[in-house]
Amino acid sequence: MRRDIEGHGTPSDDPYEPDRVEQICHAALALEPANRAAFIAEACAGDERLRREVESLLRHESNVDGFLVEPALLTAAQRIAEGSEHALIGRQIGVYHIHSLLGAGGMGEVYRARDSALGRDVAIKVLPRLFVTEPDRVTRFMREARVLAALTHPHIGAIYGLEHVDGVPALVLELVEGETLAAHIKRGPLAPTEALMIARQVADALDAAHERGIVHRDLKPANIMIAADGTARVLDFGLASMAAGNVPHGGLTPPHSAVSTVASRVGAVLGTPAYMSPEQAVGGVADRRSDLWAFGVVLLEMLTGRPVFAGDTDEQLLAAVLNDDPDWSRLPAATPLAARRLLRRCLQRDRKRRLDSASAARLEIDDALAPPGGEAGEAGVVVPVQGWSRSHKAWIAAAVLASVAAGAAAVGMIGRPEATYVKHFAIPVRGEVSQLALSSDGALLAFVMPDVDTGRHVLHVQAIGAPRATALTGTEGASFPFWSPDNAYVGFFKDRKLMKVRPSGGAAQTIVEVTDTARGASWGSRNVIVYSQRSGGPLWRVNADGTGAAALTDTLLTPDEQSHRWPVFLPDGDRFVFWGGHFSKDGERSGIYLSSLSMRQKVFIVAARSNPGFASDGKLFYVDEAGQLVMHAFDSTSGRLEGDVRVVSAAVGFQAALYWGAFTVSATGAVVVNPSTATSQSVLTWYDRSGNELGTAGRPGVMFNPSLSPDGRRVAVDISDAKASNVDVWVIDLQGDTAGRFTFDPAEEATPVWSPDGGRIAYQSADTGTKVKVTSGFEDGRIVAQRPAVSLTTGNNIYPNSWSRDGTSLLARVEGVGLESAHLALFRMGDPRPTRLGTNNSNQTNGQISPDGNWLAYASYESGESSVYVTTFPGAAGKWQVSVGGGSEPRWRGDGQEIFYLDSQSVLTAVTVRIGTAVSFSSGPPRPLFRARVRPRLSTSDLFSYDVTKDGSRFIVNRYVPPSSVAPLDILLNATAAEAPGSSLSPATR
Amino acid sequence: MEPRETPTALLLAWGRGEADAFDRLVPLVHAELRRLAVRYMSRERPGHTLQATALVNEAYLRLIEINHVSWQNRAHFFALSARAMRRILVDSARARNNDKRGGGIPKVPLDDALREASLVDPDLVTLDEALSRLETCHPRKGHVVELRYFGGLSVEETAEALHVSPDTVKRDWRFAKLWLLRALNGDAP
Repeated sequence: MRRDIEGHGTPSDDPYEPDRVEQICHAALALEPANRAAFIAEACAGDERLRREVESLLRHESNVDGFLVEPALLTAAQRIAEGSEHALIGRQIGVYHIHSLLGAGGMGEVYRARDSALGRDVAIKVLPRLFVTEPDRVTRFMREARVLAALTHPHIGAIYGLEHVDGVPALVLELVEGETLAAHIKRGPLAPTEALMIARQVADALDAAHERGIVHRDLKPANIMIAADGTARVLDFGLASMAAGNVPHGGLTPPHSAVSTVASRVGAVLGTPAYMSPEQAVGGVADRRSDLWAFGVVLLEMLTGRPVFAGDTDEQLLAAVLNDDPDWSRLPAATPLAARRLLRRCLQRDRKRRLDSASAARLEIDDALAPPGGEAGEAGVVVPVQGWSRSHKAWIAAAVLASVAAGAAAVGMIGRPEATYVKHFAIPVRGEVSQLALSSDGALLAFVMPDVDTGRHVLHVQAIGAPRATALTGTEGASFPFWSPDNAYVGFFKDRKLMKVRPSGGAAQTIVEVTDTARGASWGSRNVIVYSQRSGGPLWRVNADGTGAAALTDTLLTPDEQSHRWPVFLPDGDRFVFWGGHFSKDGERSGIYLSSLSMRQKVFIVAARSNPGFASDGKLFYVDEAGQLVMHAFDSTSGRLEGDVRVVSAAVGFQAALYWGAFTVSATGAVVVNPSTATSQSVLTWYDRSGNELGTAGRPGVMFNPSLSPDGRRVAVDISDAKASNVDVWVIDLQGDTAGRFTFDPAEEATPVWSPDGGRIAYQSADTGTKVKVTSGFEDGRIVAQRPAVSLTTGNNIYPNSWSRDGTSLLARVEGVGLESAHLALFRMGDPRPTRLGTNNSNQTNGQISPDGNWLAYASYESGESSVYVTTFPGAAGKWQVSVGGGSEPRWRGDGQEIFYLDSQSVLTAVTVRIGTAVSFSSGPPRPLFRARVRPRLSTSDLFSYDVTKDGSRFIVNRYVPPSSVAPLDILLNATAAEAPGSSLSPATR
Repeated sequence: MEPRETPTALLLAWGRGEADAFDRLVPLVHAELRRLAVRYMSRERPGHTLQATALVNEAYLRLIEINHVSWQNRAHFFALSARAMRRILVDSARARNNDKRGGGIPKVPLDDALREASLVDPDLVTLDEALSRLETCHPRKGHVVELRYFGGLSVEETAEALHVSPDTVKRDWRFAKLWLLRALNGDAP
């Protein structure tokens, strides 16, 4: 129904009311333009939104007649015609079936095609029809193509063959996946080492082609591909020769300007003349020295991250090439002298004075990449390192370094990575430092150190050279610190959150919620944080602002890999190294991998069971099988190791349960190592209810999860053997205080739980990933050879918590997948399908079935902090909170009348419970007993810090043992600096 | 070619609910598109709009043989063919856009002349999105655009397909173009 425009008096409430807007529009359009404004104002009658709506539409009135004049079919055809796009898609050319268009322009079209004979994808480049009209040019092009086709070179995009499409020659080319160097540079300048590594490959390619008389003529970042495996490949060799000569129309350069005409004449039809040599710019013939000019421009652009010659128009650009000097001041300070020399020799405008061979360029690059040697040492106590033997290290006493002056000197030296020698200092620390992270500039060290009273990890920051570290308040429970790329924040994990805090202190901010087992993060220069969401599974990523949390390497996780962890970004903020593999000893491809945010592929670097470290000059650090911190030169584009491995530190603290070594590497090549291998030590210690220490059981070691046998005569515990890089279950005989190894599998075995009859021990085994093995290991009270185990398997990591009273079922903590929290589930022996208890996403753990078998005590985060609850078993009906103010790790007294737990300050707490009928439960007020100095948790299998005797009178606590004398941390400045020239650290010349 | 496999037959089959008929139609439309493109390229006088119009009308006629459709079906068939053309052309444009973004071969930028052309004739994907928005608040005007722009129908044919007068089609067409121009220019109302 139409309403009368003139007649209405009430402005519409809805400014978007379609009819009304349209009517006013049409009425206004019917008027002379001069009269429209007044009409609209009147018609809208003061409704401003309606008026704006009408006016915003009428504003486009002048364009209506030229809009959508031709039907869409013609528009589509025009696109195809003018871009010559898609014209061949779906066609079969020889053995090639053309799939899609990859690119198009003045030099023709490039299609992706399938080689049905060889079963591989190729690129097919169809030349512009225009060029075919000049037989000389085609002949020359074909000749060069044949030469190139005969040339197989690792850094030249291969030519597979020549085809003809409707009489037009088409090149069949290697399809190089990856990204162009141009795209890479767009993200920022490359580190000098990386830039030089790429440049060396390009020089290699130029050298090979030049030797055969082929000049590229159009070398530029867009023609250099960084392939998925990291190799650089130069594309489109010689193609520009097609365009050389008097080309009136290249499709890209407007013919109206004089300079552009020049550009066209010399073959600059491929777009920007920014990489064109001066001789090409004035119409001269290109030779190999022209390629070396372009090579210099490309290298300089890699190092500075910006175009060398710039201009708003082609004319300005060519004028800059002809007249301007590159802005050398933009070169990063770390650019090696040889690289500076190379750049100047390439960017000689007079080509007679220019470097005239690519092989000479490559030699310069090798010089630039070789660590400087033989130059004068720096001030300070410095001893040249020979062969990395410890005897040659220079040590400075902690006391000396503690002085402000020495500290300043140390920091000053960190800022100068060109220094010739490795320098060693000691950093004094007051407690056991673990999980350390050096800021990228090497000036600040973040680490966690257990609080002496609570045993909880607290985040500390120490300026290198400062006498002591500062504890950051509010960071109790923090783990695995890492730095923001600008070193303005320390990131860390705490209470199921990924957080950040200023190194100077202040309130910590949550970046994103994570699971309780998340750890190990790296914050890249593109402000993406990569981390392990849980102990198993892929790496995750999240933007530094907390958005975009998602699994990252899930598609790269192979079936025989259990975990991707310990990511370390490379300086480009895209690539990162990480550990991936299987926790069993036989995982063949367990080791350090290279991957990137963009490529979604991973390249195996080296077999190791260690977190990696990376220094920006391309050195990879890890702990080797012998437990030494080693360094290996590493091609960060291909992932290949180069040269020999070197020992950086013969001793490094190592967590066998985590595959994590206590070292950190700054981008500047400073390394901090905790050389103390006796980290995270604890000893099983008896206490009475008042906290009096009654004695110890067994010897100190790296252990967790004590579990008392039902008869109270033995305790099972998992012990980590740092040397063997393995975790096994041991049984300690409390009478004789003798310990016997219970599991012998090369895979990690942890979290032992005794069966009620004392005849079996259930434990978690990592040998095939995710199962609980129930081992019958006892006869006549003695440990005997293990019998075949019963395996309980799910797709997730499961940790045994408690046996049912009759010994037929096992309650276990089942880790979730993705962001899902852990839950408790009941496994019946022989039944592969567990029964899930509780459905809430609240990270249930430490489930303990009551002695009468009717109740279940457990800890859960459902209130936001860990609390202890009781529910019925197995029905899980009702829920009673037992703890007040936080609690974890419930244990029952043997008569079921008391529940113990650890409060949030690690105080062992007792609660009397009254159990009436099957559904009547009540508990008294919590009574603190004593502070249990439990060792902080490290591994996800670290669930139980203590156990209690049946009568509730004595507790066996996994008591943290601080090192008797705290070994200072070892800091190596210029750790990647090499020795005398000719040493094996020099990157291998290819 | 089998009579069953003409574009018209396939469109009618699609209209009867034979989903795979659409898949068989796509290559036929692409073939016609390429043929049109080749002829457009080889045109003697660039920019000769009249000739281009003749070419495109010819192409539409080959794709949509309205004379083979009974009178009762005409309106339905018009709507069907316009919808099919829209889908095929927009999908094709989208694939082309994706190819430009992805892929490993360095892309050579198209020249400025092409970019200017695209100001007049919008990217089909972008237009399609704007059109979808138009359809939600002005359904009939959306249909007019689909029939006229994608289906290549005249004002009279569009009027016939929509059972409205040619004047209404003209008014709708004009308003829809204003609306789409505003949407494509990102202007807030």
